[in-house]
Amino acid sequence: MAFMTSPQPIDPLIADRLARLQQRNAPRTAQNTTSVAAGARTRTTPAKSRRRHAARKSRVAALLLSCTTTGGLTALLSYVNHADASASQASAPVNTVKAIGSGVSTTAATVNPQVPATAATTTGSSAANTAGGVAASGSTAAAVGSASAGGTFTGDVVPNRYGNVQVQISVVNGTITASTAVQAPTSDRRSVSINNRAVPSLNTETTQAQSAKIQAISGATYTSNGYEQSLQSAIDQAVTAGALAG
Amino acid sequence: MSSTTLWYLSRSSGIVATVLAVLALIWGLLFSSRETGNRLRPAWWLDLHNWLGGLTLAFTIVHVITIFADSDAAIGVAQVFIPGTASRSTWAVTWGVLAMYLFAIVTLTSVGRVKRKLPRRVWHWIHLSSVGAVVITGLHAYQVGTDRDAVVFKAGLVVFAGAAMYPAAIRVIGLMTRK
Ligand code: HEM
Repeated sequence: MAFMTSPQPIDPLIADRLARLQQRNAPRTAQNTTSVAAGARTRTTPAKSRRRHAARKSRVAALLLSCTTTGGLTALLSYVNHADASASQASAPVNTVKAIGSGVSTTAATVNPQVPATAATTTGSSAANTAGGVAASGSTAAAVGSASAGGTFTGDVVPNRYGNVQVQISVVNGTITASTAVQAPTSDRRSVSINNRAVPSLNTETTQAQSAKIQAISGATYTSNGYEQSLQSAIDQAVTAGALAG
Repeated sequence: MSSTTLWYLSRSSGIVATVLAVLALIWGLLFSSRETGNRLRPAWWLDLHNWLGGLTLAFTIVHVITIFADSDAAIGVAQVFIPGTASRSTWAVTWGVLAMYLFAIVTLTSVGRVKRKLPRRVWHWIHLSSVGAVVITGLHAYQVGTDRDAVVFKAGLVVFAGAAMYPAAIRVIGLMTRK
């Protein structure tokens, strides 16, 4: 039975691989032995077993590409936004106003953001006629209504760095029944996005407070301040006309 | 950093995170259906798949931090972590929050040490949830993004959805014909 105890002949390729494996493991085994022998107080630095990443270069490329794309997109979005703003500022002074928060779009006169509020002219106020007493917009805000029946009062145009804010209120029997921004900054997508959120809240606050003492909406400070000022002027007109108590 | 710059950064990092998520999905599907060709080793595909997944999470974190820091976005701690708490675009933001959690879970359970502790089947199901995460990310971007109306943005969504369909179909057909 000698053949059972004698070692099997090993394929030279496997023998070579085994030898290399042993060689690779040797430092680790030696280190383990010394650290155990030296006791717990001896600090040994384990051999750094850095895992090779199969796609190391592609990883770096992906990281760089992602960071560059983020930077490039940021620049592009900023450029597009500014282009939007310039285009809207260059547009004609008379255009369509979206009455934000009321869902009503009326053709009325608007004021070019570049034109100072006092220089605003009232033109093309077809909405004023068709809406049954809606005041034409402009800095010389008009009031339509009487003490007994109430009416609609449009406040001053309040310009800020992003555009104009102008508020219109409806008064019935001494109560503010509705408040709408006939103008709010729409010079770029950001302003539109902010005002779509802020203006409906400001409208609701006005009808609840029945005054211009409303809370500014966080993140929409410019619009809130402009809204408050324009609202105050609309209320002043209503008071002057006798529709609201002073 | 101005609020406007944060806004641009949040949008761009969101877009990049979405692209990375789709690429990670494509790489993973091609790898698991063994459709990686002969030119590059399977290990390369797997390694890059893992890396793309990690980058998705990293850019999602940048997106969320910049949204949070942008005072005009009205997104606070609760809105970032609790689904359904955003006052505006509630559902759209909820999709984003859920996608963020799914990406985090999928990535963390793929870390070697954690993965080894999980039963293979459980890990696989968790990993498959990344498909759902990519889908709801698309929904999130389409519903809440400022750029959703831009033709390039819509075209990009369609192209990436289409690109992911191909490996997904290969994987499904492969599973069905294996038996
Ligand atoms: C807590 C989680 C998240 C929150 C609170 C969140 C919030 C938001 C908000 C508020 C926006 C609108 C930004 C704007 O255009 O003004 C947005 C857009 C976007 N988000 Fe998220 N998000 C979250 C997670 C994610 C994730 C996980 C991804 C993708 C991996 C993502 C990708 C996007 C994309 C692509 C956009 C569109 C950007 C654009 O239109 O330019 N978001 N997100």
